[in-house]
Amino acid sequence: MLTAWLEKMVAAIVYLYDLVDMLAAAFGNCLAAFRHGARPAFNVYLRQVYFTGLEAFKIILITALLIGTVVITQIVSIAGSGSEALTGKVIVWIVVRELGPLLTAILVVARSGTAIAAELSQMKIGGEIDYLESLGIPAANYLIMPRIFGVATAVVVLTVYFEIAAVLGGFLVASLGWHVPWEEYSHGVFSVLTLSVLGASLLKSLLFGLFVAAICCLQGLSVGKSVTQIPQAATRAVMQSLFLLFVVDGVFSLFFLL
Amino acid sequence: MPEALTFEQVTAGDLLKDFSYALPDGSLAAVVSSRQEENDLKVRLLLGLSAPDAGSVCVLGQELAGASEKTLIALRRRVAVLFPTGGLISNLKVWENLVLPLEYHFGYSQAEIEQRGMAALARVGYAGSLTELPWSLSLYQRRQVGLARAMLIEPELIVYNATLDGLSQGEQAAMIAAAVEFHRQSGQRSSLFMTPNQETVKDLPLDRRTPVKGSFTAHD
Repeated sequence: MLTAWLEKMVAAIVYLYDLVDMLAAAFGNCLAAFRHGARPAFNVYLRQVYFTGLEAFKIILITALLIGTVVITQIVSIAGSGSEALTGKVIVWIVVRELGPLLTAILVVARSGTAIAAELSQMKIGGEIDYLESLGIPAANYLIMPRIFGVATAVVVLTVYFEIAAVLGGFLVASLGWHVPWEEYSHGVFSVLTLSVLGASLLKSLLFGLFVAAICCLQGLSVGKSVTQIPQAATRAVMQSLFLLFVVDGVFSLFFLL
Repeated sequence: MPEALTFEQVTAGDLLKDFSYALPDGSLAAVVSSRQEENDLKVRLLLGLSAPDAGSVCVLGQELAGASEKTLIALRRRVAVLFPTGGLISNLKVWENLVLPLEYHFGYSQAEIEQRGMAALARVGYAGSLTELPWSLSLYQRRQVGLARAMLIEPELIVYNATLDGLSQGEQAAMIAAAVEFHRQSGQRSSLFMTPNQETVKDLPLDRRTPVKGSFTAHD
């Protein structure tokens, strides 16, 4: 019993080490890419930003508007009318500090995380990683590093859009439903929307993006030779990404927002 | 005579036992193996993607055992391998696949890359689309693009892994003509055809043909 538990602990530590190692290598390769292979790696980066960021924009926008509506409705139903400033404050606390980065990252995991894991595992099983290596192009430089930074960039940018849409969408609902004036609402919003809150939100989304991309790449490359391992890798990538998101969110909240 | 490639008493898994082979510099040769998996393994060994259980592999004067990743990457830039599928990357279009090593390794301008890329495609006689993904190409077209890409990096050693297998006679003849012309372009270039089917290499103007496990009669 204890041995099995210890084995699991060791496996988790090794896995975390691999993740951090992959992220460290990505930063190292990023610097190396300035000297060698910058153009193709940058193309992969742009493509990843396009697929993860631009193509997800619509779903992020709709989700953010709905979340803003739900949060405002809950606040008004609890606090009642005359709580316009509080409404603005609470939506910043909930959306900017917590839900914005978290929900954006969850949507990215569901949409792009699976795609990355499936694509990389398919490439590995099809021998394409070897094809790249045979050309003297390390997969870590050409496939992994641009994907990690592409996803991280997309998550940060999408988080900004999410937060703007949720705060403005919330105001729209509050204004139409309960005639909350903009002055009162915005006063509440800007009284708590400090640079440190914004910075913490963006830093959190950056961490989420980096870890999600690293997990999905790691799982994608972990397959053997059977195509049945592709869906398994995608499932593992999603589950581990979600788990790590909540862990990072909890740790981040403890250290930065308390 | 110095050698472009040597396998010395190489044992790897169940597929290779005490395999020895030497490819002299500048020669055009063929190795006929008993099965394709053996060729795939030899390619992995000579690229340093797998290590042998015993024996040594030496490519272009570089002993692979203990070579650093940096050394291996530098060596792979001097070696081209044509894989049975053509070796194209599935999520890159034909043109992107073709010029990938040029864009990655060389600081050419876009105009120069375009000119070199089009010239290489013309040399192999590729007449298909440049904007399609590889899955929509025929096997022959994928191999044509693979050969054109290999030509672009001007390798000192080029390995054709089952490149002629599965092609029609006309396609085989065209592929052989392009490969031989590329081989003769530089006196220093070594070319090695690997196949499990000796029939496919019978029309090659070989300098050397190596029997493996007695399955093929040597003929120089």
